[in-house]
Amino acid sequence: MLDELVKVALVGTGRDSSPPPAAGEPLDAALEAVKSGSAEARLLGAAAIASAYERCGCTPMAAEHRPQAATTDTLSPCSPHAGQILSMLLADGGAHKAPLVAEWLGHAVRANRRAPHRLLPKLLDYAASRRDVREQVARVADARGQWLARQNPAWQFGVAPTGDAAADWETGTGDQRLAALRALRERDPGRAADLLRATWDQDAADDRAAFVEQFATRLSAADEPLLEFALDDKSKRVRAAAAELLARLPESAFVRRMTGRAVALIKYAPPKGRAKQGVIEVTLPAEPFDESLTRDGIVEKPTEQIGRRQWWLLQILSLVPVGAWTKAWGVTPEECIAATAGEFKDVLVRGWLASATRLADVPWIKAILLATLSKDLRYDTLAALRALDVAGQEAVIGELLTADGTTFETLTQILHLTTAPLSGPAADAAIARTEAYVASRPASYDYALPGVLDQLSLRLPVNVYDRLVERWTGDRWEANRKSLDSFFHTLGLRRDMKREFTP
Amino acid sequence: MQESWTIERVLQLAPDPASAKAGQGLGSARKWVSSGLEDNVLWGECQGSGAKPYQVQIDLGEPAFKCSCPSRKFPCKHAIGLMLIHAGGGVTAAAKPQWVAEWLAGRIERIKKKQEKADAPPKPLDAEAQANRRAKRLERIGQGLSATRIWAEDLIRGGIAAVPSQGYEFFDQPARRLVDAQAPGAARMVRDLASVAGSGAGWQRSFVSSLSSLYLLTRAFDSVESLGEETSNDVLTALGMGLEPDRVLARAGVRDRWQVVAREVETEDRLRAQRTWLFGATARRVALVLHFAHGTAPLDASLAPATEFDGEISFFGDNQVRALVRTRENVRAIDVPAGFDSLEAACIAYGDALSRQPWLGEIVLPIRQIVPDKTSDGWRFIDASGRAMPARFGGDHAWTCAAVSGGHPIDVAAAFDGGRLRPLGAFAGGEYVSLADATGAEA
Repeated sequence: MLDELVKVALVGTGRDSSPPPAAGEPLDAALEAVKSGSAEARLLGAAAIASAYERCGCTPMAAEHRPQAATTDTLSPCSPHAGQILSMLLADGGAHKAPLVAEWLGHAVRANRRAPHRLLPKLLDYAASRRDVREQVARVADARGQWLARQNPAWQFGVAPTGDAAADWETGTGDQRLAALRALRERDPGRAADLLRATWDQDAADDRAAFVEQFATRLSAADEPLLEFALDDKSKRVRAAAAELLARLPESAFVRRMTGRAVALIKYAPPKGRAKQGVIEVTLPAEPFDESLTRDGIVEKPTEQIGRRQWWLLQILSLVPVGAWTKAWGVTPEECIAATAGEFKDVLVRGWLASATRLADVPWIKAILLATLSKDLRYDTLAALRALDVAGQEAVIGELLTADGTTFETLTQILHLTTAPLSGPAADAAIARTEAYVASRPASYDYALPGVLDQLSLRLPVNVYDRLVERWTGDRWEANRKSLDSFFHTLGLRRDMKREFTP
Repeated sequence: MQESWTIERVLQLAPDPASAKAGQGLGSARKWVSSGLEDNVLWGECQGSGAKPYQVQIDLGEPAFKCSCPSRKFPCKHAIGLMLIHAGGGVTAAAKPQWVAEWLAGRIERIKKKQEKADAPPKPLDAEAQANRRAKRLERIGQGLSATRIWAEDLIRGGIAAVPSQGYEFFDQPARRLVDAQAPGAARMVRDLASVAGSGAGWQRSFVSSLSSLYLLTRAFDSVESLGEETSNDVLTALGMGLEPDRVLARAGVRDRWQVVAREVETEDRLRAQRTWLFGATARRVALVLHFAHGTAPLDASLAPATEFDGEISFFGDNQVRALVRTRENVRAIDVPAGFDSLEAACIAYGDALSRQPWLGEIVLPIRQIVPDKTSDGWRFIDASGRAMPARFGGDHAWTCAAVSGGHPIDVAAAFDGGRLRPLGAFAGGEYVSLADATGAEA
């Protein structure tokens, strides 16, 4: 009946003044009361009765099917307080709290605990935008999380291939083709090589170089033919990209060629008589420039203030696996470095560091950073730390921070460049450097402190909390109260997290 | 069982996001010279920039706060910080120091005085002057309503097809006229018409319904003096001329075990309106307690969802849901949520309330053991008998609701308008989850 009235109301009673339709029992009796008056009054009165009748009589409908319930979770829930901490971390999406969310997930995975059900949507949203935590999230979300994710397309993130990579490769835009190649490298590295060869001649030089760079994913000896083929390319960028990857394949012909060149130039003489260290003698590559070097990615014209022949040597050295020297001469990296002297020392060390960085060689990186620490340790030297995984970083940072030459400035740079947690002597050293720095400054706001405190709050072991609460007081600290409050807040949160997951 | 304070609940008390953040900064033991807990009273001394630490005291029952800091925010960051430490289990039991005991004694004294004042017979009023004022107001309302009636009739005569393309002025002008006529309830109905007209597909039906409801109100007012006391009260309440609080409290209260089932906060301009919904476990009656706060003023935090108490509630009328709490004892966490056992029972309860009071609007009903289900047309709830009602969630709450249910039945408190359920809270696995928008701390 209300529908009839709405139809009339749309055109207006001015055009359609027919009386309200009969409704039948039980409404007719009520409608009698609004029969008098103008057409408008009749319509509005009848509509009031009809709509009240409808709302009063609303009733549920039979559901044809019922939803399938989730299976029982396999893990036991985390403690209520651990759940509250996660809720707080994810409150604004979690983006600003990423290290803490990662720490929470790590605790939960290790302790075999699951996240509270109510936080699953936020957690899945978080994982949808962050590849690095998906595996952990899938685990702590447990059966309920899987059940939930199946119902929302935004949460269908697995490693499942999306679309047809080969079709994207043929017809896609530059970005799509790059993504297709990257995806294919993960699944079927050989097929990626075939695809790249098929379109090589039509692709622009910059694209070819970017495509070659993708072969870093799942790189193996099987890629050598394609990379050797790329060395014949006329573009400098493509050749450099290919050389970069070939240098990571120890058995490759490229590495043999490069090592052969280097060995001819650098000779090591073991310690003689009472001398503690051996001596390295360097012969610079001869002029004119050997054209065969160009094919192997070496650039003739220096791009910095350095002699031409030193420039060539630097590039050759950086492409020779650094472990080859220690193996050939039967010495440690420290002994190698000690054996360098004179005008070519800098070139040698820089070449070795470049190679060690590419190969993430922990002993070499450690030796070079420690040897150069006391001198002007440059930011780009320390950047080698970035190549290391967390365990490698931990090993190197510990020694760097406890070494004599380390300053607050070094600490700042190391914290900026690395992500590994600090523990034991490294933590003590970081605390000591920070305390010494604060003690040396006037009691006023300090621009360098907040960044360091931020990093330390995320990376110091939580058991230092009580000790630091006692010690970090006084005017110099209070002048930086905001940073200090936030330091203790974060450290305290991490301590609570650890406690909540410790049985 | 004592109410439990969670981090989330504490942060909801914060008057603004800045206070919540500052409180978190103080939520570590570092700044606290002392702290303790006894008989549900929490206190602590927080070292600020001055020489003397700030003294914070909190009666968790209300909760009521006091701090010696100069902040005008309420509760201040020190109170929030202390409660956060408490939520994390970081405050240990201790005997109250002198300054806390004094504050508490003063508070008990003040509460007693307030109670005495409330219990005292209302001041004799100048009956004649009051009757005069009332007659004057009714006359003004009457004038406003007849203009509104003509406006509504004109609208129907000309047809409503073009209404959605009308400008702001079209509804604002008659609404302002009703505000001037001291009928704010009717003015709100006119403003609501504007949003109904702009609500997209299917607006016509809702518009005719709402307009006819307003029209019914103008007609009912004609005979307001001859309707029975309760019906006349219903008409005047709908117009925005409900009983004064002291008159409400003078009415007989309904004694029950009252469960707080949902709370939502709406912000308009700088005014925050908090709607707290209660359900009487025995009388099976719905009650709504309203609270308003300007700017960063605190909202009443005493009625926390998922708690219940024994006490008396006075309604603004026998057919009204709006009510005031008269007495409140034995506050504790809800153990077994009460509610309707099927969707049909909830519909019948709504129909019953609406048939007694046609301007009812949405009310919140607790419904037991229903399952949220996502269909191609949106969300719905299915009850144990296999019947379903459509649901409309705010924000991302649908997924939260689905997550806590996992396809299993849960107890849900949902606002209902006779068409759709709008869930505001759920009990699942012994835990209450809010599905309502806007708390104090969210910007």
